[in-house]
Amino acid sequence: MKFTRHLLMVFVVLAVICGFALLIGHSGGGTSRGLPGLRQQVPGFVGKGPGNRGPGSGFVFRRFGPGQQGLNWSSVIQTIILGTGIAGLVLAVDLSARKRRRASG
Amino acid sequence: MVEVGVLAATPVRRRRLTVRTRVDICLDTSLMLAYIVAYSFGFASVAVHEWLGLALGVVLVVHLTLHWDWVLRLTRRLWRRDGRRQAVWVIDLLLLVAMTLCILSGVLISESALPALGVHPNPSSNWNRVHSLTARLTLGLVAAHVALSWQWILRVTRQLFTRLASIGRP
Repeated sequence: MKFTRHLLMVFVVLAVICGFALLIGHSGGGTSRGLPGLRQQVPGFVGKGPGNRGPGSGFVFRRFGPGQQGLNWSSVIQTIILGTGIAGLVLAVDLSARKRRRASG
Repeated sequence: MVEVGVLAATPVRRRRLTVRTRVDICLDTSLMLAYIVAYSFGFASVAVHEWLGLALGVVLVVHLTLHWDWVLRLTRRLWRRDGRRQAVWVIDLLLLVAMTLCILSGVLISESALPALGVHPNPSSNWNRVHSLTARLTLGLVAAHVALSWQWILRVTRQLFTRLASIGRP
């Protein structure tokens, strides 16, 4: 019963967020063509950098083609390194703040 | 993270984990692993990314529902002067919004999972941008969310391993 009540509340919160996003998304207009980069079946993804500013560049992940074989572990390792770095930074700030609080009593 | 599920009254009880805590740690670990794989876009095919994203959405709802008590408790105590608690609340709120938008935009730009279910979304280019932006935001916020729950994670993991070691002992 409690779980159902909480689930209902969660759905209400999510519905509010999604409702606002859809409202803003629709009023913002846009086209149905999608970004060019998403249509290119090129392995890997591409970032916005020097010499890479043409169509399809920017913060758009390029899709793997149907012929892709195996798993690309390097992307997982990149994610873990990035996540661990951010987590380490937050942890360091949290620990130093805790130490400071203890020192001040 | 929920801290009420851990029994810490006596040394004997300290080693015991409630079923709820075990469910929490298993769910949270699988949620994080699934998130890492889903975020690593190039890891597998688009279909894997999309189906995993959809599953992540379902598990996220369960995670949020299981921790709703904690959310309400934290919100009620928000006005007390505790910077850490306020930071946790803000990060968790941002994470909720970012992850919801990420999953919503992912559904709207789906090219594999939804068409397989017979739904053919007609996305605008805005949703592609929203998806990549919120995905990046989410990575930072998930990392911060996990880092700020380090005490709970450490305590539960320690208790879990102590219990596993005691089971293995003759």
